[in-house]
Amino acid sequence: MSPELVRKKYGIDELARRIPADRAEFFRGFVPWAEDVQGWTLSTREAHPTAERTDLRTIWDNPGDPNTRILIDVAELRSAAEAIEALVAPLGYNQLDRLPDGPPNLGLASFAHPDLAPPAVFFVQGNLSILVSSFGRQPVAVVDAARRISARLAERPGGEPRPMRLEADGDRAQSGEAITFSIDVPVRLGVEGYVKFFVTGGVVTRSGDRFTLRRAAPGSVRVEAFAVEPGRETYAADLTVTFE
Amino acid sequence: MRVDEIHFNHDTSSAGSDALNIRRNAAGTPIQAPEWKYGLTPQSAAYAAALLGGQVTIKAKFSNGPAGSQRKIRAVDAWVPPAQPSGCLGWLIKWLILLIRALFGNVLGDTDVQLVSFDSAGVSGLVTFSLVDHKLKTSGVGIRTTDWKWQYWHKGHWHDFDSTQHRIYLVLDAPAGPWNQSTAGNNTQLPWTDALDKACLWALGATTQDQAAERITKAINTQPTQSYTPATLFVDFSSGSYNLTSYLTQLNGGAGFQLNCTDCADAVTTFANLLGCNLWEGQFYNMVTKKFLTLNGNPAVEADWVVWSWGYHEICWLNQMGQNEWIYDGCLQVDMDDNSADLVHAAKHPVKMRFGMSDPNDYRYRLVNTGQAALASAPSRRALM
Repeated sequence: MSPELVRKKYGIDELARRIPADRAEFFRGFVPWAEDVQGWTLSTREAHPTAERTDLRTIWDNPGDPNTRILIDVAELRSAAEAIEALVAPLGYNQLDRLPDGPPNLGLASFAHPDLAPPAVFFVQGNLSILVSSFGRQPVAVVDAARRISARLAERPGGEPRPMRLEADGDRAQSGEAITFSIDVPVRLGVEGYVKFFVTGGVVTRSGDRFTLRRAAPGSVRVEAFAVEPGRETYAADLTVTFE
Repeated sequence: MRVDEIHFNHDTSSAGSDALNIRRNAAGTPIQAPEWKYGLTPQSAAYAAALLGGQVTIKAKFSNGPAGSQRKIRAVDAWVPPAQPSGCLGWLIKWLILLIRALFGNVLGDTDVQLVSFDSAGVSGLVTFSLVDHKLKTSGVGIRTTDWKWQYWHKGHWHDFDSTQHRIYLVLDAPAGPWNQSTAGNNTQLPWTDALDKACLWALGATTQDQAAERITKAINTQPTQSYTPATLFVDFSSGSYNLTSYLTQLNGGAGFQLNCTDCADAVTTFANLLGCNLWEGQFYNMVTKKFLTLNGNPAVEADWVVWSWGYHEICWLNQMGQNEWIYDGCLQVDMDDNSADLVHAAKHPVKMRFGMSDPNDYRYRLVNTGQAALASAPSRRALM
């Protein structure tokens, strides 16, 4: 099916309009953790980074039952709009006539296999387009895993984080224009480490190694950034830019 | 004296008298001659039977030879036939040994005799040998091992001086797309030995493209660790490529995994074309199916006979798409029993079935209950990653 037909069938343009203009979540290097899948064992990890997106596949095996496995594909895009757009291919390459909406309140948009098919959930959160799918011989429910991932993405780390640097090209910009910033995490994160941004008052996109903030009307935009990794202290920084 | 190098793919611009350009997988670099080099792990070589002309050659280099002199050198099959058996068991064992040898033994035959010149350090140049009594054009698809005994002629006798072992893949014809033979850059679309390991076993002994495509289709359909999901899981959505690397990882992993029709069509096309078939992938749209046997299903289990409402289904096409063209489908088996209401089924692998809708032997007639099942405009092949 042509991408245009898929876009129309699933109302991709309408879904894109759900992206808030005054707040955003954004992720860099996000990886599923064992805790997302009840402590199952990671058996496969395949990453394909390109300039536009990074596709990460992890497959988790149930140590108590070799017949149940969960596949998690995470596509990290440069913006939330691209993440919504990234639904087109997997929806178009799904044989089902039409996928029903996914469970409520899961990301910006979600779709799920109906009961007759092996469980699978497709959802978008921030700049991530995520598939959580039953993958083994026996079907296994995946909505809980999807919700745990979603909750972990949305969670602001607590405790006393260590400082890191978040540096913008300036602290002022014109409304409608963009200002870029970069992040400097003082440690090299391991394979399970990732960075997340919570933006209030504007939106964020990525361009290469830098990030771009935008706001349509005068006001301030605040960025809170966290670098998180299991077994390591969290690093945090924040930044405020005024749009005039 | 010893063998230093043996080159099977000594002409990368042609496979008419030597081996194909190949690589192990998407990672790394292509396998380059010499495939066999003293002190290093030997690399495999692959031949396409239909491409080979009257003479197949290798090149070899020697050292520790007679300084400033010459020797006649040849390689002969090191295999020693079993002794004359006694009793039924003896004959059975001999027959089994001969069968195993026919399936997996030497296809390179021997080499001819060449007069090899050695320099003052006892080192030769690269010398071309022709293969004698090889079975590369007749053995059919397979993975064979050749053990060669290298000999030189001295004082009226052949004397053994070295031995080498070679793993040889044999395919029917030039691998078709997505595979190619280009030597430009680090071409990841050269045939992968990781894929040849599967395809050559699945289609072992096939001597025609029809046989090869049939065996590959049935193998993909019956891999015991696979099951069906409607979601495509082995297409890389950023590039549109078929993620063969990921599929092989799951196949080799031994744990259960899922795939859909597109993944199956990619697999059948990719593995069959690696052997020299000419399959394409093409979709048709909007249908409610009749009962069919699901991927890797058991015909005796009624729950494995399923009906789906599909927005599309993707299958393999021989040469081209069309209502009257031939198809292969590795994702399912159709029910050839005419009564769809009862529990009696007759499973059939869709191998070289006419697509069609009018004849009870047609694929679409057997698969589609209602719906347009309209054909896509053109078939395609996905690049590999």
